[in-house]
Amino acid sequence: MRGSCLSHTDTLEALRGFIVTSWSGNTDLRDPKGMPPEVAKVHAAAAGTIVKGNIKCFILTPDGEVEAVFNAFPNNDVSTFGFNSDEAGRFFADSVRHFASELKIPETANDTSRLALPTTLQDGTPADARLLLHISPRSQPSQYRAAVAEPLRLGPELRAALSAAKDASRTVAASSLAPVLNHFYPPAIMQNTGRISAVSGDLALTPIGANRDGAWAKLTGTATLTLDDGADTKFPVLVDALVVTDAASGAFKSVRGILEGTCPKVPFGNGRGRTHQIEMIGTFASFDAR
Amino acid sequence: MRAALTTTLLAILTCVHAGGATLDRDLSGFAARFQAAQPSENQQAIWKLDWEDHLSTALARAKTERRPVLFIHVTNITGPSNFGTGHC
Repeated sequence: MRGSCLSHTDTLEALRGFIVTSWSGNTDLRDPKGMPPEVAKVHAAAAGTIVKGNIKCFILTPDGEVEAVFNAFPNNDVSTFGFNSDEAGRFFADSVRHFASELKIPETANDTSRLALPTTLQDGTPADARLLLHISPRSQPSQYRAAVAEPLRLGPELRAALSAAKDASRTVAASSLAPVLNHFYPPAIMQNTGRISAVSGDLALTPIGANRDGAWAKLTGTATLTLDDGADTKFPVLVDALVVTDAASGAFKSVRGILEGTCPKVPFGNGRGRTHQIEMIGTFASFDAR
Repeated sequence: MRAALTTTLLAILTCVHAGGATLDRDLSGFAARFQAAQPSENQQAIWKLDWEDHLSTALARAKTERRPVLFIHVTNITGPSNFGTGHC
């Protein structure tokens, strides 16, 4: 839905005046499992409108009243358009225009010519860095068309492991880079949690010189990531990064890097079907990185 | 003696300059690879929308700015499902 419906140029135009947000969790109001009160309130207000499916879209007025609730795909079927993202996007944009036709929307509320990538963590605090991840066009089914932008907290262990980069070459445990590598997995895995459960391997930290920005070092090597997909699938990730530390104190200043890896999406359950090789490319940078 | 010192100084300066040139080359080479590894603008188009992390903050802004909200509820409760960041 992100790549087809929400990234379509018609949708960007239809949602020009909107604020967009999402929440994931159980929809059963009798057993809300952490549902925020404002989400419960929206569901209660829309209780008379039955929308099936696992993606429900609500249009809310500026005062928080439910104007409409609808499914992103006709008949609640993601395959209605044969996974044609252009048709899906136009259908979604038409739905938004239809259901919001009675609303007065400020025309200049949002500048859709400008990218605003996420900069804060889920708890609202500022992130230290951001990972941008996308899938190679060679292995890109429709659900992977949109990139992932994951705000990161680097944490004291990473900063300590990458400090004193001007000193002699040394080995750094790949797990030190876990605050970044933990987010290097494809979207839409839909098997177990689909997250990274372990990071292993060693990386080489090699000084390459100093300038007015500080002491520079290369951080290179191969990390092994384990995916929580029910089969503990492991896949290698190439790390090619630059680290800057304070030339005098050795304190960590910044890091930015490139990640490349192919994650095998193995058949779930009975093991039948083919394994899908998902080629991922990522870049990460701390916000103070030059 | 003076000639020897001059030669030594020149040698040191040449090494420093060569070291600086090597660092510059490493940094510019990395910058080119980093740029080439970025997703395309189309792949990032979803962030042309005005995202808020939480419905509560979206509603607060909506009231102040007199703007409507599109709220997407995903009922996947096993894995990550954050439409704003993309791991969903």
